[in-house]
Amino acid sequence: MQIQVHHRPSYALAEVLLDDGETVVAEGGAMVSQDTHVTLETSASGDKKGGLMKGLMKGLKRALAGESFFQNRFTANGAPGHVTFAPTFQGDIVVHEMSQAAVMLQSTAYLCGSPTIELDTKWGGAKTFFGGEGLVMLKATGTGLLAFNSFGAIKEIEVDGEFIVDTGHIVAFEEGLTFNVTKFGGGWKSFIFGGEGLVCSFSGKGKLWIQTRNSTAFGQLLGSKLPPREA
Amino acid sequence: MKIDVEAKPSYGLAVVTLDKGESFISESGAMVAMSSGLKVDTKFNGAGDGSFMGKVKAMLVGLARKFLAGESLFINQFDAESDGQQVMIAPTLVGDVEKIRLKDGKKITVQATSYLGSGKNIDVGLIWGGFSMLFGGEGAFFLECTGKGPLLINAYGAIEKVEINGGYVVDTGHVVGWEGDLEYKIKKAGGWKSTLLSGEGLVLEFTGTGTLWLQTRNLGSLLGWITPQLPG
Repeated sequence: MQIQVHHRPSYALAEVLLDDGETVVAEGGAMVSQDTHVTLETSASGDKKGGLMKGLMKGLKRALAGESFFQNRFTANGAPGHVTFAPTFQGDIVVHEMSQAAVMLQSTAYLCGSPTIELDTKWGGAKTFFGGEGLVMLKATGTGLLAFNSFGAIKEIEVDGEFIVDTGHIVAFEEGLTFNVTKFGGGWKSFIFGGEGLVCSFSGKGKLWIQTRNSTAFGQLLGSKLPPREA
Repeated sequence: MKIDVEAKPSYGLAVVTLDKGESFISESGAMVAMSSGLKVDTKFNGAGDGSFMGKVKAMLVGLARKFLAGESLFINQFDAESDGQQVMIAPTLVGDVEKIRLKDGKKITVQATSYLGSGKNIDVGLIWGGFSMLFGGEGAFFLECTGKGPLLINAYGAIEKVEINGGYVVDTGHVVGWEGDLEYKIKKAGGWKSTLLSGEGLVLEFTGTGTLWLQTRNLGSLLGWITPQLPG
């Protein structure tokens, strides 16, 4: 399987090239186009093991994470095939080859990947809730290709030591990095007035992916200029 | 100090690298990521010296900027405590970020909402652009920037630079800023029939010699398109 990304960073499209019999797993609703001989199967879990109940529970956890309840499995049947995926937001897509380190992804960032990658909802705890981005981080483990998306362009940073990121701009990071949510600027004045709120301080060694725009802030900016919703 | 702008023109990100003792100022909320060796100070968005009256003046100017021009009330100043410290800055709007180098004696006028950040030696003053500018969708206040050092501006859409020699006409919602020996007049796009039917509305006619920065999209038009599509 190969995944090529076109039209980075603004309207990125992921093109997946499958060998005969190969499968790619994707977020619900992400398919843009595909060859006619690529078949679609929808399941409540990306993994066939465990039976119906386990699958439903996993699906529910993912739904709470902001990813859709069901995952789609696209398989090339009879010949190599291609299928293209895109997220809802305008923005970027990055393909990461997973081998050793697990990757923690912002909820809504998952797009598609090899079926050998296991997705689990890992609750970052109260810290992540206060981040305003909210909610949960998905944990991806296994080997294979993983494609994730963003709002804005994705910038990859190799952290070695310490690095601070505004929480709304985090897309994903490797598990070797520990993170600590702190006040921006270290003091109350900057925390309240600096416009950033809480930031995430990463330490250790590993890859970190950030996005150059913040969808919540952008939504609020546009929203403030639009007429109010009826009650 | 080094500034690189990445992800142009759609999601511009300014990566500012500072050495020990150097500083950079950005509007509040613009920080995306930063090294740990930077000291951060949040101040009112109004120039002022450290004295008490200076701080009061800064607060009043900051309030004027916020309520009249839609600029943020606060700014953040980043001071590097060692070499090679980075701060990455981006606006909230999707669109371009441009770096402009200001020299002594030159003045750049930009839309108030276009200011993103600047070096410590840049002075930013608020001026009124006239009621007709309100139709552009981005407000009628401008900022006059003088001093020496870098200025970062942002826009909705991509930023296009045009050299003017003689005259030029621009749709009001597409003006980001200008510099040089330029005068401008707000006029109707054509006669009354054109102004009402053409969808263009008001335009700015520039005369003189100088540089003009435009944005390739118009926020007022976007809002005008979305609003009737909303429920209720």
